[in-house]
Amino acid sequence: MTMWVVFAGVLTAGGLGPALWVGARHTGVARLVGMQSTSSVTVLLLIALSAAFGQSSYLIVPLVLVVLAYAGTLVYTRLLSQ
Amino acid sequence: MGPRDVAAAVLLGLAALVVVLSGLGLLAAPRGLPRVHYLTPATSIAGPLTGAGYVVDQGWGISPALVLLIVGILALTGPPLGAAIGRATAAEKELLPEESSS
Repeated sequence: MTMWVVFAGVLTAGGLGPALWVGARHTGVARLVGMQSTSSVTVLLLIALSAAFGQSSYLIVPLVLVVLAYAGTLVYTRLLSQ
Repeated sequence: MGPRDVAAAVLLGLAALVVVLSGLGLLAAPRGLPRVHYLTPATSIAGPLTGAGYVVDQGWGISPALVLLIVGILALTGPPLGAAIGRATAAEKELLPEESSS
């Protein structure tokens, strides 16, 4: 088991779990915090999984996610503020 | 296990520690604006640490450059998103002045 697998496991349990919990409770604006945290941790998790599997081509997924998450979160903040 | 592996493990360990503490802070903080403070550590600290760990572990090349690009975008976009979410939270609680509510 490589350190990247351990890193991915810690991110999943200690980062993704709380983020999903916060993102699944209360009102829409309160959930935004969890959604943003989920996308940030998922980007790091996908980088770790790419390194763990030794497949650098998988890096295109976090690259796309980090750009789309930025635009998507801004859209949600705009819509929920109205 | 060489010095590069140890350095990469330390960097990844620090990144994981930041993410876990940030997640625990999210759970412990009261709902609303205090939670927004726990978003940025994952993007501005854990992201660059992960990128540095990747570069130290894999060496220099196109893949580490791509990872640095990803964590760079993550670090740049994290604070504006935190500010936008904070503003939306303040607007929901009617904490914004009238002229800046749109």
